[in-house]
Amino acid sequence: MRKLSFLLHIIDAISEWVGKITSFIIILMIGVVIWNVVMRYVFNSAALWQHISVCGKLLPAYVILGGAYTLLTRAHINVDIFYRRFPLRIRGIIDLVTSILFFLFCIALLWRAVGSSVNLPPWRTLFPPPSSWLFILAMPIGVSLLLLQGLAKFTRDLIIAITGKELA
Amino acid sequence: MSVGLLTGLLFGALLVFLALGLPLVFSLGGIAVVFLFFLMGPQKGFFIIYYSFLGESSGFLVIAIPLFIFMAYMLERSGVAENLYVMMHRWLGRLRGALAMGTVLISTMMAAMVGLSSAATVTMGVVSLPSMLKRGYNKHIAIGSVAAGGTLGILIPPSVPLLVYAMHTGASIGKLWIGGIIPGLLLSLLFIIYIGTRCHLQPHLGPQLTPDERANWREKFSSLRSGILPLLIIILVLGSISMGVATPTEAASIGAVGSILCAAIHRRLTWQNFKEVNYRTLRLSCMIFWIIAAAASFRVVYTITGAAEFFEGILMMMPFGRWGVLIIIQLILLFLGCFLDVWGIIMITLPVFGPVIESLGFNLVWFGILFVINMEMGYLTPPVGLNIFYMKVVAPEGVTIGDIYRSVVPFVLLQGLTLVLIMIFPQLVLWLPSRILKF
Repeated sequence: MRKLSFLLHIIDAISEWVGKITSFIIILMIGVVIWNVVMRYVFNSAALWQHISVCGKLLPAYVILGGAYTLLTRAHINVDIFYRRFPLRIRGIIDLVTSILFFLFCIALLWRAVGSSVNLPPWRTLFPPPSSWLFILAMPIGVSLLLLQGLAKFTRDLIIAITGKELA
Repeated sequence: MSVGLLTGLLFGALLVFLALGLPLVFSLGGIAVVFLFFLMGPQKGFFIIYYSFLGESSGFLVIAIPLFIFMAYMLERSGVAENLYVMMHRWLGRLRGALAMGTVLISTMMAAMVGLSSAATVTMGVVSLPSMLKRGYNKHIAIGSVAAGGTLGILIPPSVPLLVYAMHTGASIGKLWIGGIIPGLLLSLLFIIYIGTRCHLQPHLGPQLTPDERANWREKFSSLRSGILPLLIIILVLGSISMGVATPTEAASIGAVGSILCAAIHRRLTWQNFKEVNYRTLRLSCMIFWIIAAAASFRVVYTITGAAEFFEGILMMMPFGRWGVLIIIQLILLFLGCFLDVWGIIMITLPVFGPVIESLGFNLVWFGILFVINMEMGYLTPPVGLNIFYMKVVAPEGVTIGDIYRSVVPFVLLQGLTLVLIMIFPQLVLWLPSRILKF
């Protein structure tokens, strides 16, 4: 039990740190857009293409890599007017049942994500890296982390359902 | 399988999983996966799921969403609201109910800087609520002014929900934002008139400040300085959009930098604050984008099963012509507002309501404003009202959830009145955009 608890904490820590590091991408995005504004209005140079191609790939990466952290911090909205009235053990059982949709969603995303990352452009085009790589690589990594965090939650719910208590 | 049965299955499943407390994003996404798997097979079906994600999170306009979120959270911590409160406190001291009216006024100013409702609600809840209660304000007036004032954030431009609305209906974001100005100010005015009248008739609800608390003229004028920065941000962001100089994304980036400067000037730009703002921006952005992406897949199921048309057909059969349909749609929005928050409602309902509104010959910009006011009411209506929840968190001891529910009632009624006014006089929404935007 102690080993399991340790493992779950490690998964939490991974999600948390990946999320916290990812969160700084927002500064990059602000920077790229502001840079574009300055170039356009001060130097009269249209760098719009750069803006779209860089930011357009930063945002998906930002959103996907932050998925596990969002799950960990319970930031997803749900309707809990009935749910919160149930006792802990029932809630655990309900979560186990409903998690089927979570896993299906993740697996569907991962299926395609792995498929597309196998078909990466040849390595010669690595430098400078095409910005589409950001998304192609972020997707399998981000969804795997989300799946891992979901498995951790599943394990915790299982323990609640069996023992009626939360794992320390 | 018939369309009716499929639609029933689709929404029955959604309702069951939502009621069981599964987050909206996984309910939408998971159901979409199951349906797409059976309708199209894994190859094509999962392709749609995957590319919904890429499609919905890349593009020029969508980048504005996280930037505006960042700006809202940064301004929340920048100390702007606190300073505005001091200014208002010094200038309005003699008036009965001044602090509550001032709270609405500051919330209106905050709304013109940020596109979410949380910034004003949280800061005013921390700054002005304790100060009002300490001075013997009636708790219903005090709580109501904070909770209702905060909702203005999503109506007065910039507004992130209106941005998402624009993305999913194709209505012009410029027109929507400018169209929100007059209704927003009208609502703010109605709140202030209500508070002023009640405090005038029943002076014990909002007592005057004691003479020793009143400021002299020097203090009054020196406090005006704190209005400069907010005004500058408002002019920069709103001005650049309404003049057509900058896109919403560019305006958002300017606003984000402005908010950082604002925090720096007030000496609030600590590493701790900076980190927290980043983390919270990520959480809300992810929450929104994951829902948008999952809902996009869900929408494909909607379309290929014919469920969207099925719903449109039902809506069109409602009695009392097109106004009957409009009222029913708004009742549905109000009902959903009791259980879901604005992002979920936009994503679930717009694919059906948008085409219906258009085919009935209503203006989409005008409907967008009605939509957002309905969402504002959703923020205030139990059991799941975001601003009620915020008030519960920040309210001092002795304020029960029942107090909060009762305190928002008059304000919700005023929002309802505004809805009616806008339905009778569409020009309240449409006049200003037609004057300002020449394209």
